[in-house]
Amino acid sequence: MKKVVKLSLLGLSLLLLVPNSPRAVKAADSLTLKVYSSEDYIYLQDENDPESAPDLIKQFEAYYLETTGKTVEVIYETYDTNETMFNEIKLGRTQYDLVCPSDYMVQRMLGADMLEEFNFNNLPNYQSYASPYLVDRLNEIEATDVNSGTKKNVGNYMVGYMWGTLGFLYNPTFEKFATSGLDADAVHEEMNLWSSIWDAKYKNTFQVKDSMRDTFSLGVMKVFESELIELQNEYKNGEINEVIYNHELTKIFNRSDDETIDLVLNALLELKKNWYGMEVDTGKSDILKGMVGINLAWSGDAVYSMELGVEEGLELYYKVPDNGGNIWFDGWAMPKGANKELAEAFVDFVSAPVSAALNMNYIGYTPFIAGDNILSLTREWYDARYDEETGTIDTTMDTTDLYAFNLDYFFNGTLATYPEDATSYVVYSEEINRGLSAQFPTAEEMTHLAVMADYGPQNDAILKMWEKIKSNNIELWMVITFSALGVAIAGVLIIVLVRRKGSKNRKKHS
Amino acid sequence: MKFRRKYLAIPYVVFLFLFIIFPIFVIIFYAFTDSSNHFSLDQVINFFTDSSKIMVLVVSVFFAILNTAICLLIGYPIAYFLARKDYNKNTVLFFLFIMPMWINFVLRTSATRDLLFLIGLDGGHYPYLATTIGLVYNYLPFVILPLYSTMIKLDNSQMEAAADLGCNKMQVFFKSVIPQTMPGIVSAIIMTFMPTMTTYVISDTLSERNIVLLGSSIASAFDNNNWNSGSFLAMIMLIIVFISMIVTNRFTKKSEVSESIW
Repeated sequence: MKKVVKLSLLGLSLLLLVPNSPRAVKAADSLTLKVYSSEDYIYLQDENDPESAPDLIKQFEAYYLETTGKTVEVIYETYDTNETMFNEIKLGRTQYDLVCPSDYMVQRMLGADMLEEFNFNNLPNYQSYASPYLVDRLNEIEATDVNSGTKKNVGNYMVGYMWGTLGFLYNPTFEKFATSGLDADAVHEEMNLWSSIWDAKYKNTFQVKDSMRDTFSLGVMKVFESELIELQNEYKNGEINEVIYNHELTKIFNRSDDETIDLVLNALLELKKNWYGMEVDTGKSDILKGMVGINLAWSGDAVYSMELGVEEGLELYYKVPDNGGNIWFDGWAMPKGANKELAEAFVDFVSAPVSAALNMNYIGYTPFIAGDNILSLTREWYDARYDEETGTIDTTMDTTDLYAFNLDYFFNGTLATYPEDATSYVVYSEEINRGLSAQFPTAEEMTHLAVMADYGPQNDAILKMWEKIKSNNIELWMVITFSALGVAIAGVLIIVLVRRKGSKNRKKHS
Repeated sequence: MKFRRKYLAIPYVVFLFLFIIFPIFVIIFYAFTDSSNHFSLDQVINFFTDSSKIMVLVVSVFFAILNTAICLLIGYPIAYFLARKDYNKNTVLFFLFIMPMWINFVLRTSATRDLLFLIGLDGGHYPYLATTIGLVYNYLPFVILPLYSTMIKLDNSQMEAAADLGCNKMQVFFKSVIPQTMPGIVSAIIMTFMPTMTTYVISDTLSERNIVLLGSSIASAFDNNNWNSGSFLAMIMLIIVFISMIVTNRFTKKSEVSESIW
């Protein structure tokens, strides 16, 4: 037996040695770029249409070979949540060159000093085409190194990729709304307040996200709603300007002290009695199946559902209540030890407007990159004046009955020709609170969107609160019944065992 | 070196160390350390002072008992009929009952979710009912299979003898059929009780995430980078596994376990 053990230990150590060797061999003869990002988060060629553009990754490989004469192999691996990615990078089993986290996760990674700084001179596309407005907002986010206490600017360590909001995706003609006396107009009206879903009228008609940060923010917005509305009124009356408004709003939105956590806990426990369930991935289709009438959704998922809804003759809407909501950014970041030069080349390649348009079309989220390609794609999708046959905009069309979306704030400074007339940025749509609203909040709506920072040291306390919400909140009598049942069964087992033992002993004696 | 037959065991011994023994030590290590890898009893204190974790355990045990009981109640007679040639002339019926096992249970469960919604028993309104239905549906084959394999070997002459010697039908069942099928019952319980406690796809999907069982609690602890808490919960589970193994071992000492297919 000893020999078997020894031999197997030998085999075991051999197995453990293997994974390290091939990397050393590979590095010498070809370049590899290891990208770690979400699934379906980069353009892939349509398999049914061989004439469509090839996968973005393949395009980059070809482009890199052409410009530098070097072959590069891009390895694209996926994770499901930012936290999974963080763990993986922290464990350091694999050296990734690029990851694609959200703003708060970049803050956390910077806090742990895990990222390399970008050299923006190597990112000409990003510098010319990234929406200056969004770049400014990204630059407002700060991170503090946990050990040294130095402040770092998130904008220097993160290159924006996609962005969006969190809001209500809803079906105003949901059957159950009608039976509880809610007509479509009332639903439209009430979806402008986060607290609406706490009302008994909405019992079992909505899903929230099984995602701590998103659902916590929902709770914060409900708890401080009157304060938020007061602030909004001050802004509307001109007592404070938009900068101060957004600043104050962001402060409320980011409250995470113990008292807030308690308030949110109670609010969410109350909400749990009202909700249909939680989901993270099925929500997009559940609302189409008619399971629920409201889903707490990310804007890109909402766009996806609304599009599918059109095919099924179901009109879905998306709204972020106007007294405050979350805006989030996903972007590229380089973990320590990354091949910076190669990573920057890749980031700049996907930041070209042509690539961004492919991504926007494929993923459904709104890219960080503006530029002509994105504007024309937006017009193609949403502008009522767009003529499919000629592919142009009919500027003579009467627009009095259409909704005007001025996207000046997003596109200004990124177009090839800089129109002096702001109306050139206007997209006229027949619909409001549908696809275009989800993809591009108006400049006015942008002022009531806040970035949600990393919770920092409060993260554990919020995690605990979240466990309490998710746990089975059963009544005391049920606990007592269950325990009594368990004790009874254990008792029966013990009695049976003891009796058996007794009978055995008796047999032995006889 | 001369070849010996026992060398054939090497692949499995390696496997055993790498994927069973080693991970258990990793679990125990993380269960009793803190995030900076120093010894600590934080997780023990956390677990026993946090009512939400106790609730998860209570509800998991409840579902495990309920599911095992229902599966046995339904599965036992079915296995009996399936095993009797006079009721089940060809084995088609048997395969109908076993068939769901061949389809991956994640796929099956999301289909069950749609089906339950269609008939109005969705997890949004009835999380406990929907989860129970899903659990029974998924674990029934695991109960039927071992019972069936012991029941096809039922000794008819023993039952006839019991009847001849004056047992009524109930007595024949309790004194002859049950003792003969005991190994099947025990392995059916082993196959149902513990896996139910740790399932999480079924409870998550069918209860619309309104019910949390031990399995999903462990999963979300690891998702949130909380290895220590996740490991401690996993260790609690291991302890329950050992206890239930000791109990079931006591019950099978006399009868031959090797007769059942598991």
